[in-house]
Amino acid sequence: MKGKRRTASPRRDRGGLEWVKKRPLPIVNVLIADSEKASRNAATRVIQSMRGMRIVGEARTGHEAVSATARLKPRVVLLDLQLSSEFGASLISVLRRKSARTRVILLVGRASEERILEAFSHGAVGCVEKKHIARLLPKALEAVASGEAWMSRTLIPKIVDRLAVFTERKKK
Amino acid sequence: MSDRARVSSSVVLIASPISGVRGQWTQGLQEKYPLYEAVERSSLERSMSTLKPAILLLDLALPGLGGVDGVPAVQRLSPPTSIILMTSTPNDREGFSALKAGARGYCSLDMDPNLLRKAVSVVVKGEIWVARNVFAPLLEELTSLTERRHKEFPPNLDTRLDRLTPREREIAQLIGGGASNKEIAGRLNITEATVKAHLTAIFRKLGLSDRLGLALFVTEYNRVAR
Repeated sequence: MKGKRRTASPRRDRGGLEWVKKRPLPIVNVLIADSEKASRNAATRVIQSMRGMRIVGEARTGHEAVSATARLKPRVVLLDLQLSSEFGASLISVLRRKSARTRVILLVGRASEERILEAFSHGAVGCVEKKHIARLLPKALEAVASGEAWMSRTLIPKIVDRLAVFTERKKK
Repeated sequence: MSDRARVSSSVVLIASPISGVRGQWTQGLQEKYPLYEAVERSSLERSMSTLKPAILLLDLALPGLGGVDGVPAVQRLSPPTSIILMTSTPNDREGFSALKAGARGYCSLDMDPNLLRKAVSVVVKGEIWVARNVFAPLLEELTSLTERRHKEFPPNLDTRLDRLTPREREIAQLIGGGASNKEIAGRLNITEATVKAHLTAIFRKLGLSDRLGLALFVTEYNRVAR
């Protein structure tokens, strides 16, 4: 992830996603880990319609998610936030240890911001509400596959507040 | 946040040494907000203290500011003000530092007036306006700080394990080591039926559904607690 940060990124221009598509990127392997059939289907439809993305597996439980991630080393895991709660948000840390390159996008049904932030603290880098999968998952996948993060702007102040808490604690 | 809400009218203070820049910002904002101007450090300080504006649009090249490092001092003159930093050479790293310094926005100096209006209205609402590129470094920082904290203070996983009886905890640890019910029964000198009964209680107390989930939970617990 480090070293990939670009200065003066063309992405800053409006509509600047074109340059990503022009680059011959390798196929992005995606694992879908969700207990709900409807969300798995919605995500499947989105990924099948995207160029450069491929579904490598499906998981229905947290345990399946861990073993599939360890075996398949997908670039991206779409993870039902509900699943991760079986183990506390630490399921995400487990996934990242099983496959260091894997990046986690949360699929969120009904969940408090607190739980989403907790998942971000454990290393998730994207978040899409389940009801917006069709519209927003493509953007989230593109962003995360190219090393960026994807979330609602409204979460940013909460993240900054959390960072501020850490910084203040350090000063004491 | 309550401080920000208390700012009555959304006064915007624009601070840049370049009149063309101030003109462009004015064009985007004048219909919606009462505007005031500052052209260098001392007039900025005066206006911040007396006006307590809702928003300060601050050109990072303002003479005497000293870049991002100078932001906290300006903020102290009016804590409720949300500062949006404007720069001719935006980059992710500086955007990240800007947020850490307390800025609520980080934008390109020659941003489109309509987009600027949107950015200001977002920040007035209490949100933050930065390029998406800055999101990733923010999250990286959050994750690494969290991991460091977890090393110093083991996280709340252990409170869940505390609900178990010593016997149940013993069995949970054996499951974490990959033992079968039969092995556990032999090891603890109890029947397999008793092991199963203990497991049912453990699953219920931890909110888990199967032994593989439990194994994972215990492994993770042991790793963090170490």
